[in-house]
Amino acid sequence: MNREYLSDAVGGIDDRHVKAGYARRDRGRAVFWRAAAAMLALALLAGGVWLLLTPRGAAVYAYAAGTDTELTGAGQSFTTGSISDEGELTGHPLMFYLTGENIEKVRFSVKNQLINFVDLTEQRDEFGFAQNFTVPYGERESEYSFLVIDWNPRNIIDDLRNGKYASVRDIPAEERSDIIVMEIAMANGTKAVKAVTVELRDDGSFFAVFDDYKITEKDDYVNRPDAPAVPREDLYFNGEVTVQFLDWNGEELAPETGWYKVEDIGYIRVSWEGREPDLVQMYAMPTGTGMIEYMKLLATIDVNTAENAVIFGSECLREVDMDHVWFKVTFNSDLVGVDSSTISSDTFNMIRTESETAWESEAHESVDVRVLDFNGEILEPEAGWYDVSQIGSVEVTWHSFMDAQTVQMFTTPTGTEMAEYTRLLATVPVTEGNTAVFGPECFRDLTMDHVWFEVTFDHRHVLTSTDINVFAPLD
Amino acid sequence: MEDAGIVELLFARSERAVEELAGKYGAGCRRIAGNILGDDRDAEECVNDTYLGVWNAVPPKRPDPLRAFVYRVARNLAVKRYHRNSARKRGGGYDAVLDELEECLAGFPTLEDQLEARELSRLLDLFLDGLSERDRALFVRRYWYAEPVESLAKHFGATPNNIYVRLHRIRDRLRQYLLKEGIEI
Repeated sequence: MNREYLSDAVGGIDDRHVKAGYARRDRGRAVFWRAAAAMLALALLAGGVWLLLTPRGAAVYAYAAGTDTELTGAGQSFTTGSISDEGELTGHPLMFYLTGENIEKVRFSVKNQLINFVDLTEQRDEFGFAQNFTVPYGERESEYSFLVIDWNPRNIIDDLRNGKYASVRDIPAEERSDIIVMEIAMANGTKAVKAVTVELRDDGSFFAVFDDYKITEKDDYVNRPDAPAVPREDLYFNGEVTVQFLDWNGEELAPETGWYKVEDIGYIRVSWEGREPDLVQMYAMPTGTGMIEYMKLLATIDVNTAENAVIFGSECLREVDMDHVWFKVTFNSDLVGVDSSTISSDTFNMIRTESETAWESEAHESVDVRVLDFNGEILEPEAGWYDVSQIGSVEVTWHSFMDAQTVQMFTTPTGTEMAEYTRLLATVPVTEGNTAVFGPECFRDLTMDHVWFEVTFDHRHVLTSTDINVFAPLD
Repeated sequence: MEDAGIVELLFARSERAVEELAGKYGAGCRRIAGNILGDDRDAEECVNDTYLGVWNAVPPKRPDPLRAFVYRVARNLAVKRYHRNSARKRGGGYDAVLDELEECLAGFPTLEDQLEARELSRLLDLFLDGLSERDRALFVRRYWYAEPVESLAKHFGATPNNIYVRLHRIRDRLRQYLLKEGIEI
């Protein structure tokens, strides 16, 4: 096909779609002028006039992150965040980035409140709840809009919450305003000083002005030493996430023509090196949909252990038919002002080639529960219910290639079926074999309950039994 | 300066109009031209030609939105230069963009005979109207702005692989859409 034809066809789409390409987090508004030593020559043919652009000094501009609204000397109201009279902060009152030509570094100093600095390119040191710090910008101007400064009025929030002030209106004017001074060094040796002054209004919204600034003796806060950066190992996970598909014998599977067959998969092992994640989640999206709205969260495992892997059982694949599947590993941070970070694995293609019924009939993992009387004979339920006074013991037996660690007994009163009423009644550690026994004392306090058992294996893989219904006869 | 102000400067034939254009849209034009041409010097020449192109077009045109108009001029000039360069050599990110589109539409070998380019543009407009905002932005940024996949991944907060998969699905949907619109295979 003629490539010019394709170029022309795509190039001819309507402006409303062209706008769609820059309307989201547009960062195309970088303003620059070539340094004084360079000349930008532009030849125009308009009545024989030639135009030369005269060199200008370096210019620095500020834009609100997310909306890309320019912060100007005339000032701008912000509704991206607000504070209530109770000291509740919603949103981010002021998040901005700087643009300019070849900024070498910027030293930020805030007078009253605190600022966070995030480098979305993940290359520079970042700062959380700091007042003074220096950021190297560098020659790649396209990165500048990823260097985001987030102003946090924490002291105002604390004063409202502590009752020092009954409402925003009661806060004195000098405490409701703040200033962020930016000492900007350009690569060509020139310097500039700019400032963002921000004011909290009576209604809890904010007004900010960006303009040139002259540091005076009164600005002694700029002389504070720089704050230390947030340790990178607390911010970013530098390890790798590995996904392995295992069959029912624990042997690793290989895809066929790029596809894994669902019915061959016994387990999915997700492992990592480095930091411990908080969550590992499994997602799927049906092939051919191409729309994020069809994305499904199939399973979540809370990690919070010292292990470096989790196992997803094949039961997580029940909704998979012909899907792309991937895993997200989330690392939360305990650092105030620092968001969590997430890593996604590669995407894997999965296809179910047998019917679900046929697949289920060949279940390779199972948990069986046998209720026995005091003679060790199998106890039969009456109308689906076991009389607790007749239960001598309950044997829980499992089948899996993995080694179990514990077997736990849970109950929930009938009619509630709500997680908050679930109780853990007993835990049996597993040292050998594949059977755990629960004695009659475990059923003593039950009146009319659903009971089930969970067998926990390595890497937080869990098999759950079906429920048994128990009741205590009325005396 | 607001776009309306720049347009008025152009109508007044003020040299300051070009300064303001360069200041406001220079980086964006440079990015588009760079994405397509893959060469800084070519891109810079293209951007300079863009200012001339806008100066010549306004007036009589009174573009609104100005940004889309300026970017369109930059893109058209970059694509023209790209095809001129391609006669001599291949390479660069825009090749990959066109490769993806070619592969997507390979099942319609007589497409050029069935539709003129501008008619295909109108169909693409309707197709894009049916996408989610995110997918629409992704398609336009990849195939109109010729943005590299790595940059798209960063912008959308996804991995490059996820971006490839999503683009693949969007192209699949485009194929289905063209079939539904009666384009013959």
